[in-house]
Amino acid sequence: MHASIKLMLSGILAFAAVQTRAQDIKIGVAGPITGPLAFLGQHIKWGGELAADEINQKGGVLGRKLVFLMQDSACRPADGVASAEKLLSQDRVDVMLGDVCSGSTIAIMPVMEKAQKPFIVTISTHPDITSKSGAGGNKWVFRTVAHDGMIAEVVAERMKGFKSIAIVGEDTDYGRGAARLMKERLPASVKIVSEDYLKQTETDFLPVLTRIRASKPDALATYVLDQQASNLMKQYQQFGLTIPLVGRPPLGSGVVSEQVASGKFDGSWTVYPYFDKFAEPKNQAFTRAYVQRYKQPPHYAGWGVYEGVQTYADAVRRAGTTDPEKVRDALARSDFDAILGPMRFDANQQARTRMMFIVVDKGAATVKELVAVK
Amino acid sequence: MATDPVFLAQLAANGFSVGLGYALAAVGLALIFGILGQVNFAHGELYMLGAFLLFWAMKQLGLPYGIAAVLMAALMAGFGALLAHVVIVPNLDRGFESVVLGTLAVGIILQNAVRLGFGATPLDVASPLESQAFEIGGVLLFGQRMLVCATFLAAFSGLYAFLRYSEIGRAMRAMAQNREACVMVGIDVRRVTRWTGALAAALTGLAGVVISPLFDLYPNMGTEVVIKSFAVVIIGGMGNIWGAAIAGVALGLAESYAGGLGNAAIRDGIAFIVMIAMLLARPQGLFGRTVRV
Repeated sequence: MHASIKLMLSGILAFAAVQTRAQDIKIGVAGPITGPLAFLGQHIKWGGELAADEINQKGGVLGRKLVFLMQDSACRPADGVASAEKLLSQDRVDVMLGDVCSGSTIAIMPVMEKAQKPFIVTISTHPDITSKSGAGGNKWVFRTVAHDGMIAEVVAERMKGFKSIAIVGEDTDYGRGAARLMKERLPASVKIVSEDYLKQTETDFLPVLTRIRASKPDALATYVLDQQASNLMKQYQQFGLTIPLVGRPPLGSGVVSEQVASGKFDGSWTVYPYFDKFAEPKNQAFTRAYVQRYKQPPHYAGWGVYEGVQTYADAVRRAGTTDPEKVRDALARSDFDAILGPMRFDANQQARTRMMFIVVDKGAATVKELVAVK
Repeated sequence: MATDPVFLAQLAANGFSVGLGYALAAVGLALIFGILGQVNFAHGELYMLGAFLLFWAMKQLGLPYGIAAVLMAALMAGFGALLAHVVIVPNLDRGFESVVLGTLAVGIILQNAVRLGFGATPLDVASPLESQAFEIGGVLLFGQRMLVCATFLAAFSGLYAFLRYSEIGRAMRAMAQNREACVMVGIDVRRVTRWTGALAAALTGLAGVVISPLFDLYPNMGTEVVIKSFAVVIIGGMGNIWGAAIAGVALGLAESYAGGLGNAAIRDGIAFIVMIAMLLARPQGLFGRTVRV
């Protein structure tokens, strides 16, 4: 009872202020405003508002203003569904963007199908979202980021050099799912010494690290999000471990930048859909605007939502209307220059986007390679 | 590996230091229940507030860790007295749920105030002991976690002496036994309530100060602590501060061995399994509800 009342009240506090008019185009998102991932919710809001404001300054879409509305999901499926239903029925949003956590995004998908409104997934990476979309059944769902299956291909291939690895992940659809996909593709020569999945709110990694210190694997495959990674890396240093973190540690996140800068994680690497230090003009223009406004570089979540809003605005422009059916058809035919390259969707309405192979060297994370989808 | 003595000793050392942290974090909750018979639902937020005040004192005022910690404990004591005065004193003669609702409201306000003031991005406080670790016979001992153990010992012996020898401490014990009798012999129960609130908040804040450098700071950080604190207090006996100490260490050790020999998922269930078993078999907890010294 305690947590849910807090959730409710903080939701009211945070969003009572947004004013909308009937002719505005409303973009809804369910994301974590409370809970350990609240700072990702902050980036969602920032990314979405930046995109909407940039578009509005140029006269909006079809002469109408974009409005960005957010509800708290705390990254939990049940709260995600409740938020989506509220946004659809009370705020009457024209489109929804996906949550951070795949579990919540997957739970919202049938709600969108029933409401017959487009749903653009911009952060969640669970492969089921793709396999259930477009040709897979739910024609309303589009995804602009690479999914875990695509990323696992790249990760598993780069694991070849290791004899043994340990896995640590969050106990969610993302952590367990992404680790399983990597394991399925892992060369037979790599032995898995241990697997641990911790609840998303866990901060103490002592037992896991104690075991890893004794079992001495060649690498630690890491499937946790930013805040847990920060706690993990802090305690990792206390243990004096030098085993590289590989797989999907969020090495590009601002939350772990101090740990990365310590030089103790040199040799660690990750494959991520996005990293703000990616040096191409379109991305640099985006990060500059973001930093100027919010005083910190965009997180992957902020970039994702920014691209999502742009993708929707592009489709509405081409459709010449916000009629959901027509916008959906326009989305399916998307082909514009997004930050990571051309935005085009396949039969499952999955963007064939690029991924970033990020390596830590001399205390700095850099994009070593842009990996194209096979 | 499971039978390697160094590995087992490492798990024991981990469990012991984590468990004393649980006890330190829970004692404020036990104190308010033991003496006032009230449940403080803002307990986790007091812990969170302690950590954020520490961050503020170090980053904004530029104070070193030690001085910031002392300043923070004093601020928290003041805040605890205020909390007791505003929320608990007016509700002393009302039902149990008045204080539950009142403290819950304070918890929500604190959480959102901190979110407004500091933002949702996780923060980090640096303690000089944070990166220290030393090795004895292959077993790693961590500086900051040793500080948690030392703080536990100091706080509990201080609390013992306070309850045993000071006038207000004796009044607190009297109030734990019988509030009506206290009123009859002329003990100012409102004053005792404020003192209890101050003491509980200072101890909880202190727990935040020594434990938080191990982890990140964020507005919801109290939620995890409050779950463990309730487990410790229920296992040890609601309101029994020595029960909380023993239950804290037992829980820390059980979790450490479960996590080290089994896996992380088993470890997470331990607190709840023991708590449910305790409520079924011995609802008064291991040691029952008493404030004795």
